[in-house]
Amino acid sequence: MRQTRTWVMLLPALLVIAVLFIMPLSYSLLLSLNFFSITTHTTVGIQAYLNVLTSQSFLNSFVFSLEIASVSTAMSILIAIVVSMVLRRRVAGRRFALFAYQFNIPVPHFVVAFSVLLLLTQTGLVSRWLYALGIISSSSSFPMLVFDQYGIGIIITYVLKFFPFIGIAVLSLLLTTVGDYEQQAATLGANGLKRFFYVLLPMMMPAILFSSILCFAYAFGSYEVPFLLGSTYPKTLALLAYQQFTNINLNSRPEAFAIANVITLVMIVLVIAEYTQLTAMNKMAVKRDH
Amino acid sequence: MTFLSLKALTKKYDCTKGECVKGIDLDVERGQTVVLLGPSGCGKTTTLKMIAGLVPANSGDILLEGRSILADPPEKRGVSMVFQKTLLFPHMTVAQNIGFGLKMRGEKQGEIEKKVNEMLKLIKLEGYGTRRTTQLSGGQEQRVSLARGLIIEPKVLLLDEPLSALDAKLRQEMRELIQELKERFDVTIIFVTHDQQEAVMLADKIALMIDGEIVQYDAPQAFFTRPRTRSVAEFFGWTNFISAVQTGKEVNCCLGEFQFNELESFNGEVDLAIRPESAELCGTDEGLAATVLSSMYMGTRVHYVMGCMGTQLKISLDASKLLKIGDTIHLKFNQGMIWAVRMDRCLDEDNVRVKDLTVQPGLAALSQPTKILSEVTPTKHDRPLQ
Amino acid sequence: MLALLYLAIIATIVPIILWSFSFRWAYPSLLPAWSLAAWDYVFQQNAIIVALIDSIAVSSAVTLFTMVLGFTAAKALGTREFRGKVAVELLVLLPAIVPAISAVMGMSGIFTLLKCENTFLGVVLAQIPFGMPYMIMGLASAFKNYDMEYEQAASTLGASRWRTLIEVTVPAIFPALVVSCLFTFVVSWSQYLLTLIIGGSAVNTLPLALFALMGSGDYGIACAVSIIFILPVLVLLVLSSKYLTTNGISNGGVNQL
Repeated sequence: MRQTRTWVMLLPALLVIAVLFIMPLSYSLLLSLNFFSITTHTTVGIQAYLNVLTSQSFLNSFVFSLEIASVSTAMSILIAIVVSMVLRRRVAGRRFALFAYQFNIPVPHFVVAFSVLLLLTQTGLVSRWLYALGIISSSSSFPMLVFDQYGIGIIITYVLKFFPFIGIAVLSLLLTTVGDYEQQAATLGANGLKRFFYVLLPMMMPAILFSSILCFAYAFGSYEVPFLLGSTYPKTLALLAYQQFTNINLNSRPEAFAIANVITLVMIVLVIAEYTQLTAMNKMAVKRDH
Repeated sequence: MTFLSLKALTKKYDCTKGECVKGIDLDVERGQTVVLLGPSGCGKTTTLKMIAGLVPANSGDILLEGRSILADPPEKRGVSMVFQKTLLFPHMTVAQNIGFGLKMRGEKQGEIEKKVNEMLKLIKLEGYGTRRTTQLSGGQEQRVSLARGLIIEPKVLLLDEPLSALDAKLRQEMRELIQELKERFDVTIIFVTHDQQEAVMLADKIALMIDGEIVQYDAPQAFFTRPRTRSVAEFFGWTNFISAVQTGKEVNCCLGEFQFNELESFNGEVDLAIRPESAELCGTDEGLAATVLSSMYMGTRVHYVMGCMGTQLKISLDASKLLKIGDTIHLKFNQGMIWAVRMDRCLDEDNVRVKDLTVQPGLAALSQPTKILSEVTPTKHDRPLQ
Repeated sequence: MLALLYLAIIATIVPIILWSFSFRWAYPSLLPAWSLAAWDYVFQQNAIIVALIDSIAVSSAVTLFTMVLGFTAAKALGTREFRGKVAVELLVLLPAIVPAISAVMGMSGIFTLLKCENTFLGVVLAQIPFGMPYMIMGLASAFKNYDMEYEQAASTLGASRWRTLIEVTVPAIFPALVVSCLFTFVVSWSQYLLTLIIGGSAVNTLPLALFALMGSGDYGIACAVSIIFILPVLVLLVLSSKYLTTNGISNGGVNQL
């Protein structure tokens, strides 16, 4: 029967994800609830969560992760839109620009982070140029962009990686389907700005939303980049979880899992929210392809 | 002053593929429906887009009400366009789509609603205002698209093959709607199509474009009685082209001598073009002798290929009398459906010309007909003739 | 405006290139003392070469397995409608959104039980689910435009299922296949946390080696290794650039949901 065959086709992938991903997540949940406790004093329950959610360091980390993720995603969206709007015209050097646009995609995040490290620390390359130009008098006058309180270096790293990713999705739309609609709008009396807000932007929204969710999720939960460029306090949630995980004190273990599970929960909520929004938008999407 | 004027409008994409517009001139009177007709790739859509301002011209000018609009961006030209793909904005409702142009102009919401509702009545989609565009059928989409283009009362409405994706019945309905709306809004229409029948039905004047040039610009009847060149004639169903020589207003060919009073005076080689419907059976004492070589039954008429005076003619006769292959009959021709057409500039080798026939009326052919006929094998058909 | 774009690209790797050719580049000099010391070190040190080979091996294995395991699911998602499709789509998307940190600790526990902790296999298994979303999304979007009638035509011409797969299906979606594999490879190539925790002592991929070097303070060597690290993926990008038009994978994700 057709239905069974469909499920047979889906089976390998679903099995892989179930066993290698869902199971670890469930195991993590159980461990956070102390199901397999190693010390005799602890009981099954949400103690770990209570500890975690009331701790100042957790709350600071949560806010810190949120701030980094939102700022980098928002900036990336803006830059992606601007650059893509420019690149869709046949400007000089366009072919090279298009290649450059895709260039950052395969470069791993932490390599970009390393580069940012080399450039923007107080003894980094940019600081040296400013010193040579006489704009600053010593390395300590250079603003603290890396290892700082706000995660600026981290944000810059993410933006460098995110904007081409979102931008390419946007550009491909602009060059194909959405472009035709813009012409139609022009013949109906809409000038450039109006065309952008009433036609281009709404039609690019699903693509932008989808790619930026991926970016936001990455920025929120990533370990490598904040590890390289972050200060000791505050840590992002991923770093905090890892810290607890590798803590000698075994009592921290459940808390590590608890933190990780909070991250998971936030992500799941995000996915569901995004999905609802996208289906609502898809109802308006171009169904018929002429 | 002509309402809309194209002067030497040129656009070069890739002329080897025929994708360009080569300096066309066109004058459109206010309130007319002009159809740009032509085969695919002849440049008609490009021309339309240049009028709309979506494609910049390489050279030439476009004048609307005496003023050049060449430098104006599309949104300022007072020209609205309906595309082949309906391009209804998917994130807006039907009402929002129709009212879009009015909103861009800055009209008040109340006014917009009023006009949109009126429009919905006109296109017989009352009550559809709040629907999403994905819920519409193809014909309904086109109606909304049309409404959207007309509600802003443009000076010129451009239509780019809007009906080609619809089935025959819908197409007819849409044509009637376009006529209705045109009268209601008193708008000048330029309509692009490759369908000759559609052009004839809708147009006040047809501009036939081939390879980027307007080959003939005339009322529809003229294409059936006075085509200018061979490609025009072929496009409009003229099936027979006999090599001939024109001197002044007289044309000589193997079928005889023809005098055309309204033909432009010319000296040189032409083709004598004969419409398939121009022939009639007649008595053996008049007309020209012809032999049936093949036939194809079409219902009310029968298409014959006949050998006549050393050449082959495609003739369409009434089906009331069916002829058999090999029958010899006499034909006389209605001179209203015969014309002399000029050569086109680019003649390819496929143009079959009956060769080497001297021009004396009838005589040369008489010495050759049996030879030519015997070289021709009559085509066999499945359906036996009665 | 485009200048900004170029600046961004330059910012990404020029510093690394420059620094790799340096030997002790102290503040505030604008130019380093040029030297190939870092490169010498890299090529002499077995460890880096081994790490490179390990990385290639792991990522290739992950890409291969992900492709084989995810292929039919992608086809089902792209060509068929069924109840629960939404749930499946969300499930497939999940590993792309839930970060490694959430899963890796649980994985560590389970893998220890399964005895694949600290093995090559363990690392490969750990990375597979994270590559799945990209593979499946990329392929599914290609399948959306795929007409099942190609296969029906092939079978009426006598092709067996296997041959239809090789000679009809795969060529038809080949560009998407290339792009999806590229993406999956890159995702696996950049994995650090997973390899660290699951593979730890036994498997040493380039990211692990690189992190150690970055923390060491000897930036010259770290930069040299970084270049070695990004070179293979750049090569892959160029090789598959013909398939990576702007219409490529980027639309794939959107169409999925």
